[in-house]
Amino acid sequence: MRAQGAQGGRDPAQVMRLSRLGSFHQSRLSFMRILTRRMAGEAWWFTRPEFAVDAGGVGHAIYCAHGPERTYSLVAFSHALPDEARSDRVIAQAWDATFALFDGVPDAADIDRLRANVPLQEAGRLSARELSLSRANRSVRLWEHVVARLASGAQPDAGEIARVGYLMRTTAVYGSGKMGAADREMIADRPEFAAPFQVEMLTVYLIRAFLRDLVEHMARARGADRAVPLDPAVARRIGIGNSTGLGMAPFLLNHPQLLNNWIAAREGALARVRALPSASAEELAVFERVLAQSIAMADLWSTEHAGQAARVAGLRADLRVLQAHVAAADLREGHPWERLFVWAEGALGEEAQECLASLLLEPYGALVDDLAQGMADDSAGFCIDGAMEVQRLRAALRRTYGWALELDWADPAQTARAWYVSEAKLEPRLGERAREPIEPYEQPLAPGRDAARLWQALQGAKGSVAEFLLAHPEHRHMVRRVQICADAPYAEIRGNTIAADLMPMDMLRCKLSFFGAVHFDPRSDRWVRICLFGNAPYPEELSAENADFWPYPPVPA
Amino acid sequence: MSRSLNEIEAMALKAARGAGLPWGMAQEAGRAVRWLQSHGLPGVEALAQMLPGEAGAAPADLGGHWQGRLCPLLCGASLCDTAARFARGEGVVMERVLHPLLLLPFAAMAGAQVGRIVVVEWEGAKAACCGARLAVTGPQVYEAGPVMLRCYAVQEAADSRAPGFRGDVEPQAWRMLEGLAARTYAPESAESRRLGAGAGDE
Repeated sequence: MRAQGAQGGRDPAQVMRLSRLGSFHQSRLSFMRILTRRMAGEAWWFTRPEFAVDAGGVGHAIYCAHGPERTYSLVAFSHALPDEARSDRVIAQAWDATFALFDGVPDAADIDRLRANVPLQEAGRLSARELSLSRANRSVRLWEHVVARLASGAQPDAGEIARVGYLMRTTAVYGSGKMGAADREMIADRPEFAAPFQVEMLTVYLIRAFLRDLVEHMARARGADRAVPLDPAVARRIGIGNSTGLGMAPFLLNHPQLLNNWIAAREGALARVRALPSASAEELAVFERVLAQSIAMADLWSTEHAGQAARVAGLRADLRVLQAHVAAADLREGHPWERLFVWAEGALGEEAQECLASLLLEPYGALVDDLAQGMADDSAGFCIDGAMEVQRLRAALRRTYGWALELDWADPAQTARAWYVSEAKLEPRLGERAREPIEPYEQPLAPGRDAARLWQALQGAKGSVAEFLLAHPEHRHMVRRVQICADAPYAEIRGNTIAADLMPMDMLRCKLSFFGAVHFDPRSDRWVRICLFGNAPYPEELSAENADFWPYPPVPA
Repeated sequence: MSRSLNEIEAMALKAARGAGLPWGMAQEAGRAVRWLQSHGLPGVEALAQMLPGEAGAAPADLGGHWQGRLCPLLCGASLCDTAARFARGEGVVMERVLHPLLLLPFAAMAGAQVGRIVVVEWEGAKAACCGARLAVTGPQVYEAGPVMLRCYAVQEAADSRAPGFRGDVEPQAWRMLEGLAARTYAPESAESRRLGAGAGDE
């Protein structure tokens, strides 16, 4: 499959800036919403064939999702974890709960095999029958609050739920062949997994159902006859937390074609809406409703991170400006969305502009949802075009990396950081080049600098790319990127990923927004807590009516 | 040992980098070993033999006759970069290429680029490949070399097979690659602990 372009999409030089990528919001094309739409549209049904958890919270359960052709089963293991062992670090060794998504329905032998491996996470082994591996830790505060309240016959406090948002947070959801699980190639031809990260999103969706059942189970164990189940309306507000660190940031750099396809889908959708000559009253009503709900969502967004808090404050103010503008503007005729978007680019900050870009898609599912089908990258891998003349390579390089050629790479601030993998943690880290002996271990995650180096090496070069690479194999990775970007306009971040002032958070936010995450709560510049599936219907509630707009919270009266 | 193809590719890439290859060549090594293992061929073993051994040379030029004791990865990359020759009906003779098995994936990629089946042939071994597909005849495809090897395009080939989805890797060779891969990891220092942390605790 070729890389996806975006008909009429915005200029990559504008979209692919780090600060803008770091302002992205969930949309109709978010992977969680693609999943819930499909499951509702195909009338998936859900069963819980086993729930064998004791009064101390130890045991296992199986949750099956039945699609039109195949069944997938979440195998959940619940553990008794002492408080002092609870860590969100990806390198932890014990968790409150561990999970695998099984391809089909597991039998007793499968469960025994998984029980011996899944609780070990990275130290265990999976087979090609498993599609994902995950684990989660409790929010100690909310978990205890909910168990105690339910055990005493009362519902949990709405304010407590709003403040935390989740009963457990996952610290990793591994798919695509990790720890021996099935490679994506094994399942890529299944329609339900055509869009990216559907395995991972299904895993998290089923985990959420398990945790609701588990917290009710623990409340019954404590309160016996006095205990009550969670009010469904209260349960809905509870999502799954996710704690994400630097490990996710290199993903966008390591998968340029995939990044292109995500952004191109969103840009293509935005362009289709902006091109509409008029809007119906119904479409306007949908837009105004999700705008009001977005204001409510921004008001609920709590973070102690100073930078993000300032951006959230700006978003809240800007969305109200937008709402007032929309109320006063005539948005029925004369390319209303184009006019609105151009106005927003002059009047609102990046957070609100990108929020608007997402909101404009909401009334137009029939127009844009098909773009989800182009978001995966199942190409066999890019082959360098060795016959290309180096003059054309130079021109292509300048088109994508012109910004990098203008930077002064001799300035230590431009190369202050280096990405590396540490021996102790085996996970990507970002170090200070001048202060740590890490340069020999640097990962190839600085395309801007490497493009500038390639540009230098190409000075005076003649002939074909094949001849150039024969003499300069050290530039092979960068030649590949330049050629990928020539056909994939949104494949590359247009910013310096090793600069002293890099905010890795921008890269995390971009990726997580495509998952559909909301309430980004950076705990530093390097790791972030988010919430997934908050307000989503539970499996037994899922229907065509609630499968799509669930990320938007009710507007307070 | 059964490994997913992603695990195999990631390990081969890191090992090749750990052995000192440039990143772009290490990426090629990862893809090549993945391709071989997906066809049940011992790519992990071949790479584990190649990396610590004699560093073969790159071709001196990109004509049709490559001399010297040649590195299969450098030759493979150049073969792929000059795939257009197969569309013109031209081939390559490599006089003495080490670990010839590692050349097959590149021939397959070259074939896919120009829509031809590319045959790789040396004494006692013959493989025809294009993209993901492969047909092997002759028992001796797994040798350290050097061998004299010919690559040329054909119109048709024997029944080719599609790749599988898992790799059965030889444990000792896998451990060898793990050892090389470990060279890409930065040793922990007090400074890196303080400065480099990812997700934190609470």
